[in-house]
Amino acid sequence: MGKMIRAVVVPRALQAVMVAWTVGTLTFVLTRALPGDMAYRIAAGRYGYDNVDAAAAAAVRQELGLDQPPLLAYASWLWDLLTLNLGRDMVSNEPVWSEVTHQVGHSLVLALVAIAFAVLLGPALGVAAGLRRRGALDHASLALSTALRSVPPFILGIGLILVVAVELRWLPAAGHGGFAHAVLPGLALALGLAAVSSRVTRNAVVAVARSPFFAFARTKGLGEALAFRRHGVRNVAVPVVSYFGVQLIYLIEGVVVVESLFAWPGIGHALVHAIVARNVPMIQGTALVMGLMFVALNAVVDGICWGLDPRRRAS
Amino acid sequence: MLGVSSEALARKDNIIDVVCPWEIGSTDSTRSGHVFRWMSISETLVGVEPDGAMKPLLATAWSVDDSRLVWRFKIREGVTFHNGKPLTADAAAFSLNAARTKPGVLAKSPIAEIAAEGSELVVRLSEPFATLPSLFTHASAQILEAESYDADGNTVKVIGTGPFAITVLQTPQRLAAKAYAGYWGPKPAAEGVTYLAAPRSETRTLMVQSGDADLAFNMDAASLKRLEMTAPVKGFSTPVARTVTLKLNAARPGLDTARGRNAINAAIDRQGIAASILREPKSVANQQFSPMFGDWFLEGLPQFRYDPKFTRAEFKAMGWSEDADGYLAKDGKRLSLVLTTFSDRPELPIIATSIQESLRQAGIEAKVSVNNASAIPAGHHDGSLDMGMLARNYGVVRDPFVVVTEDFRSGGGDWGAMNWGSAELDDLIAKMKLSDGGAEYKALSQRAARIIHDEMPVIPVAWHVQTVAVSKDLANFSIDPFQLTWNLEKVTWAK
Amino acid sequence: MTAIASTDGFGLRLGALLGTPGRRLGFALLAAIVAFAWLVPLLHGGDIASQNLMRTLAAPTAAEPFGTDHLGRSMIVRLAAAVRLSLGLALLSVATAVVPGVAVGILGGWYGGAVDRVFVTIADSVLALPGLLLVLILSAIAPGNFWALYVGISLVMWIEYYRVVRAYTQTIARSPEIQSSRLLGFGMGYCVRRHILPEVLPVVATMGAFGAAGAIMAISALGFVNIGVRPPTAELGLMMTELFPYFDEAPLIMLQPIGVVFLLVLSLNLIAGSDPK
Repeated sequence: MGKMIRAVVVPRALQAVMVAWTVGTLTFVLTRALPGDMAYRIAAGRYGYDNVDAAAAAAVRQELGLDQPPLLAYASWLWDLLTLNLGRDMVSNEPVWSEVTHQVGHSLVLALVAIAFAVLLGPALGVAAGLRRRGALDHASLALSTALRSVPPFILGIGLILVVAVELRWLPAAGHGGFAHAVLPGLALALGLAAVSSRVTRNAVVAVARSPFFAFARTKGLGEALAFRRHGVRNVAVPVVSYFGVQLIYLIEGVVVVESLFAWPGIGHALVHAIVARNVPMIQGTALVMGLMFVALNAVVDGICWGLDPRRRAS
Repeated sequence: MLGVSSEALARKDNIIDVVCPWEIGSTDSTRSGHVFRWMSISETLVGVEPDGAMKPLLATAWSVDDSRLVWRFKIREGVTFHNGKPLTADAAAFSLNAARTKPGVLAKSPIAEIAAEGSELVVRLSEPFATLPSLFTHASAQILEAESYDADGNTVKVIGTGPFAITVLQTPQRLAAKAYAGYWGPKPAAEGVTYLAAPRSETRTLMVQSGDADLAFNMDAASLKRLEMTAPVKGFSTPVARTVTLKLNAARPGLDTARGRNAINAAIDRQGIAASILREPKSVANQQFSPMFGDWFLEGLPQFRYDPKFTRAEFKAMGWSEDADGYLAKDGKRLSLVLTTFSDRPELPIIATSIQESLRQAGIEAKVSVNNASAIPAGHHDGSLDMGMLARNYGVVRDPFVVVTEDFRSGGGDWGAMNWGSAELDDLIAKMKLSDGGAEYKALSQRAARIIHDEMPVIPVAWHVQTVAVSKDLANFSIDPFQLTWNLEKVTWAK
Repeated sequence: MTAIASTDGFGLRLGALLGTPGRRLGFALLAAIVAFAWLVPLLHGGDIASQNLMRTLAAPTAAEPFGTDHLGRSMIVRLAAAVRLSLGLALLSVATAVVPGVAVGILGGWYGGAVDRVFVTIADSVLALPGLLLVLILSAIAPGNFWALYVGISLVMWIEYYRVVRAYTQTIARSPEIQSSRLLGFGMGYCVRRHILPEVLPVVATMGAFGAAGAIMAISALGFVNIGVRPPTAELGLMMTELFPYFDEAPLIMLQPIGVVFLLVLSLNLIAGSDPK
């Protein structure tokens, strides 16, 4: 356990700190880069334009330390971040923290649905293609994977809505409320993930199938399926799972666009909105949580790899 | 496009599903009350007829005394809130007093006191204010039960008196409500209503096509035409009290004279915008206020001319010359302006892009900046705004007077004139405040509209037409031109 | 699909530049797109912003071979400009990322020690923030500016090159050939030229093609959510959003930017090798 903490938890925890620092620094620069008197703008966003006077602006200036020297202001900005004092949403006036925690649940549901679909689709197709190398399925899956990887996720999303929701009327087009609403956005994200993971799986299967230990298992008299289950699965799983780790970037990035298209009330959607509105506290909150979510998912992948691969535990 | 979906598809449920671009910013009724009014969850004391006349709603009658300072509103009997408590004059006063502490039309009005006396609500004014009842049509003046408010007077729940009671409220996107059995008026046909904010017009279009939405608001004209061909949907468009305007900073060189502003006005291709972008010939504006504002509409004005060459010639006559790139310049400085707009209304960036091009032909460089809506008031306050494209609702409270006061008094307003003023207009505004209406009021408002028209501190580009895609499952859908309510309780099911 | 031959071999090494049919197809596609993007302004002329509201969504004609958009602007001119923007920005980002990535990777892999550890820490921390997030925040700081897109994409991309090049350099530096070169008195410069770059560059080329494909996707995604460049700039994602309402009226016009993104990304993916590495 101690080893795992050193190998998995500590580096990821350091990354989490770096994410917080990067987001904090960038949003600090953002508040300084906004045109006009900053205190006035923040006050206007917070209290409504009709309600801004010198007193309100002065209160904001005091609260955010806007008249401090830049370095001191930067330090107090980071301190607020460290103490999770994210401030209030400039549009709704709700605390950012409560809004973001509400949104992150929606985004996690979407991410999990996408991963579930991708795990169901990609590796299964990859194993089938790899076991019959250069078969028809192998060729078809290569062509499909190459094509799918060349389509932006939002176009996949529109295509899915047109076919599944508009034509077939099997699922709702957009919105949220039940599991049915999560299927299409989840699938829009999953197709890209599955396109890549199917080829990674396929290549890993090909490598295993050519390996001496696999050949030995076959000559031992094990059938192909049994040999693969006994000797192949674990060896294929390690590269596939670690590849999912790499692909999480795709997932987090895809969430931004796909949520916006499907009116899904997650953090990606909120982030886009906050950026359009220059809603700095929300930009900071949503970007921070997305970055941390990415680190956390990566840590989970690390943990799974750790569990799957005895060699990592030994080294 | 994929083939026409079967019209025979059964209706999914007896719920009216609405999809809109506008998010529910907050639970607070002074910020997002319009959504609760639209969805028939809350009601106001006074309502508005389609022709603009005021009608009783939660108040059955009202009167003003001879001093013109004390108004009495008789509160309707037999009305209950969604939590079962009865509507009383006390409850109404409590709700209005809470709203009055927040910025909004009530806070700006000369109301000195709101109190209950028996079954009457008594409003005392600090100065006469003839259009007071129209203030009580505004969404921020909706009546909510005391339990809706926290200790600071913020609304944290929405307990109204309307035909639908909220079951789910997830800001900023979703709201669901079911029919309220104790409603005082006729029972609605729908068992419930839902509201979803989907800012992307693609999403709204696809939701209508898939049957997930029964009503989709703010459809661009092209999508609406297409939906009518491919989905069991009817397009619904009605002129509303909104004008698409180009706000000018009258402190900028070139925009600082009425002649310059009128020259710029001549560079706007209204016919082209109406034909190709809005696809609604009725939207061509020839003045600030559309014909629905009878008192303010100037009869007999011709259409504006569209002639970029005239614009260029006018500026040259005012001492501008062409620089190397063919743009107008004076004292070595090019006539270059940033046109700020926002995408909440999908047509605005497109119109802005179109105006950018026709200004270029006239020798004026315009840089379009698609921003957040708040960029316009922010730019107004810090003086950084050159031009802003927006859609101004002159019918916030039935008569444009309140908005005109805000937008066109000397110095201008967030969404109106900027660095512009007219002593005569200020004087007219003061007189109208005391006027009782009728012919005198009309004469004053006509003169005010004429000043705004001649001086052109804000250029009217188009009269807004509200577009809604309506499922063919629905019948009797209507919205009032002042967009206070969508009358969902009157909607019935077709066949 | 003709890309099958490239599926063989699991390692990162690739054959000659134009080795496989898939690659050849990729290069041909890319060359065609590049020719289109840079020849249109020479042969066709015209302006991305000039409108004709009386001729909107026009079908292709001899004068306007790709038709016109919803404001009557020339589609061929706008598409060519959009490709120049996306491809130019993507290639510029890749080039900016490759130089420091490779240089620092070789240094880190060769010397190891404290310098290496510093760079590994920086790389790990930058990589912890998904690239699109970085680009989004940067574009909030400078809305409508290209440099935000450019800086954001390059800043994330160099790490990949750095990591891979470092790993290669470490392995090669310990190999017998290098050991003997060093014993013979050859310096680092010689070893890098003679042994390391020939190994590393093909891998970097593959990654660069993937990187460019990713950058093009990212730029169009930003255009699609209305963050990034502003109208009237022709950008593929923005054009898709603008043209979507006219999908039924003029499906061919709407499909043009989608098709161009697809072909562009496909060509780069084919060049990189059809299988993800």
